[in-house]
Amino acid sequence: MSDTNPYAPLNATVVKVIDETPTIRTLVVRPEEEIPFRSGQFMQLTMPGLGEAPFTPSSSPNDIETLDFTILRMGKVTKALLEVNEGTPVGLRGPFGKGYPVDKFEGKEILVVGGGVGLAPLRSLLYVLFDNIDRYKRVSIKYGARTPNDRVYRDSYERWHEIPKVDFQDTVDVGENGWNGHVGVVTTILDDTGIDISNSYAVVCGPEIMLKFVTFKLLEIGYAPEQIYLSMNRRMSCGTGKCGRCNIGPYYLCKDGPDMNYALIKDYPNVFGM
Amino acid sequence: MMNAERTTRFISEDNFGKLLDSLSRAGTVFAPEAVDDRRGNMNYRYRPWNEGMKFVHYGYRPSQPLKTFLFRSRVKVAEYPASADTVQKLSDEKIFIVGAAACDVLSLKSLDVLFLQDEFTDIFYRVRRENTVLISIDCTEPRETCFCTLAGHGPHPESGYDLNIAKTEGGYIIESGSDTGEAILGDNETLLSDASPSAIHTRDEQRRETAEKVRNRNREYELGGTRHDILQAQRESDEWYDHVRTCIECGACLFACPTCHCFLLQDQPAANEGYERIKKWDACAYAGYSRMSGGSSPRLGLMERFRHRYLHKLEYYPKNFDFEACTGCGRCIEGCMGKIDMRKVLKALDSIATGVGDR
Repeated sequence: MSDTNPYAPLNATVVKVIDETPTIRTLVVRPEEEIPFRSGQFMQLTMPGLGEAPFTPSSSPNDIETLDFTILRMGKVTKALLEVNEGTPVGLRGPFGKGYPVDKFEGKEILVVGGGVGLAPLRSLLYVLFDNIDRYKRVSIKYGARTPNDRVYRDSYERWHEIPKVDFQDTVDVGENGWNGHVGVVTTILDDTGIDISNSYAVVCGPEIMLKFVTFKLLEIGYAPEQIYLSMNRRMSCGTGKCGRCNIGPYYLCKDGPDMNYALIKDYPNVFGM
Repeated sequence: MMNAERTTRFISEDNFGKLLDSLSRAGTVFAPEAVDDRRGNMNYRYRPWNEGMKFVHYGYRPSQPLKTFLFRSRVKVAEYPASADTVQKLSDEKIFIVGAAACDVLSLKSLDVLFLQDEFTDIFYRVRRENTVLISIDCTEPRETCFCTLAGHGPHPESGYDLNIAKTEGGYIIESGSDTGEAILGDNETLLSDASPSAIHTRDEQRRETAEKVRNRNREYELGGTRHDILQAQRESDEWYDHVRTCIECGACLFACPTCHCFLLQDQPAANEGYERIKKWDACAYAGYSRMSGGSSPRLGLMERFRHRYLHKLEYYPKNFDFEACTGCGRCIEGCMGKIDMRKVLKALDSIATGVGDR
C-alpha cells in the first residue's frame, strides 16, 4: 500500500500558451518534478480554486520536461484554463489509466481516427509510433473537424504525411471559402483506406457521437470489436477507480481505460451516452 | 491479523460497561443510543461513550453505517499549492465502535477492497481503518427490512470484528476475532469469567432462531438464481421503469448504504491562503453525478441511474472482486420515501427470468 496522497496535486507552471483554434489552446506545462507517463494515460489538471479536469497529454511520453495539454473550452475549469498566461501556477495529478497498448500494435497497420480536439491524445500516440515506425506496418491517420479553422495542429499534417509508412487525410463537416479538401464527417473517409483490416487495429478519439458512428463504420467495413480501441470519456474525479462515476459496466475508465477495447464494453448499458 | 487463538468468555452487563469505560481512556468509544423517529420506530445511532454510562444491547443495527467513521461524508484531502504534507496531520486517535451488526462488519469488505487494495491507497480511509476497533453484536431483534440471509450471510458476524458480543442471561458471550480483540480481553481479564456450556448453547440457539426468523420473513423474496445472474440477464428489462416511478432522486438509499462509496473532489479557497480540496459523498442517483461539461451524460434517464445502483453492487462488484456489495442491511428500504424495496425489485426481475411469480 502506498503512503502517498492520491488526491494532492503536484505544483506545476504554465510555460507557454499556443492558440490552436478559436476555442482550443495548448498549454505547455512544466511540473515541479518530472512525471513519467505512457501515451494514452491521462492526468488531472488543476485550475487552482476551481477544480480539476482530466486530460491526456498531447506531447510525447519520451519528452517529459514539459507536458502539452490541448484543451477545448467546455465547462468552468476549461474556460478558466484557457484564460491563463505564461507563468500561471496549476496542479497535476497522475498519470492514471492504462495507456495505449503499443506493444500489441507492433507489425500491424494502425488506423488512427480523430475528431476535433480528439486528435490531442492521439498525437501523443503518434509520436510514439513515429519514434519507432519500423515496428509498425503502416500508420493511417484520418481526422475530421467542424470547419477548416477548427482543426488542431494544422502545421504538422504535412510533416506527418511525409514520414514513410504514414499517411494523413483530413475532412471538415462544413467547408469554408478557400477549402479544397474533403467535406463530410470523418466516417465518409473511412471507406477506402486501403488498409489490410485483418492485420489492423483502429484507435479512435473524439466526441461521443463521433466515437459511436466511427465504431459502427469500422464494424461495417470489417473490423472486429477486438480490433477497435475507443478513447472513452466520462466525468472523472478521483482518477483511481474509487469515486464511482466513470464506469462502463464493471470497468472504470480512469483505471482500466480511458482507451477501451470495444469488445470489452460493447454489451454494457450506456456505452455511448447522449 | 488473523490468528487461530480465539477466546470465548462471559462478561456481565456491569462489567461490559466497565470494559467500555476502560477503552474510553484509550480513545473514543462509540456506542448506540436509541432515537425515536416519531413514526413509531426506534432508530439507533452512535454517540460517544462517557464513563459510567449504561450500555444497552438493542439487538439491531444502528441506522448509521460504519462508513460514516471511515469514509466520512466530508473530509479535506489536500491543500495546495502543495507545502506541508496533509498526511502528517491525519488524526491517529483510536476509535472503538460498539454495536455494529453482521451486515455492517461485512460492509467493510466492500470498502477495504476499494480504498486499500490498489496502487492508489486512500490514506484517509486507511488511517481511520487502522485506528478503528470493532466490537460487533449478534442481532436478536431483526426487523422487516432485514434481509441478510438473502445476501448470503446471517444475523451474527462470522469474521471481520475485533470483539463480538452475544446477549445471554445477565451479560454477554464475548468472543475475540483478531489479535487486537484478543489483547483487549487479556488486558481486562478481571472483568471476564468462563462462558458456561449452557450459555454458549443458548447463544447458538439464539443465532439459529434469529437467522430462521429473517429467513422466514424473506421467503417471498427468495430468488431462483444468484442476484448477479438475474441482473446480468435483466439489464434491459422494462421492469425497471415500474420500480423507478416513485423514486424522487433524494439519494437516501445511497447515503445510508454501508457499501456505497461514491465521492466528488471539490476545490475551494482555503481559509487563510491557497486552496483546499474536499472529498465529499456523492450519489449516482443525482443527474449531476456523471454529467459532463457540455451537458451530456451517460446516464441521462432516472431509470438508468436507478438501475446503476443494482448493477454496480450486484453485477459489477462480483465481476471485479468476487463478492456482492450488498449485505442485506435494509437501510435502503428503511430510508426510501418512495417505498422502493430492493427485494421486490429483484424478485420481480427474477420472476421474468424464471417465468413464474405473481406478475
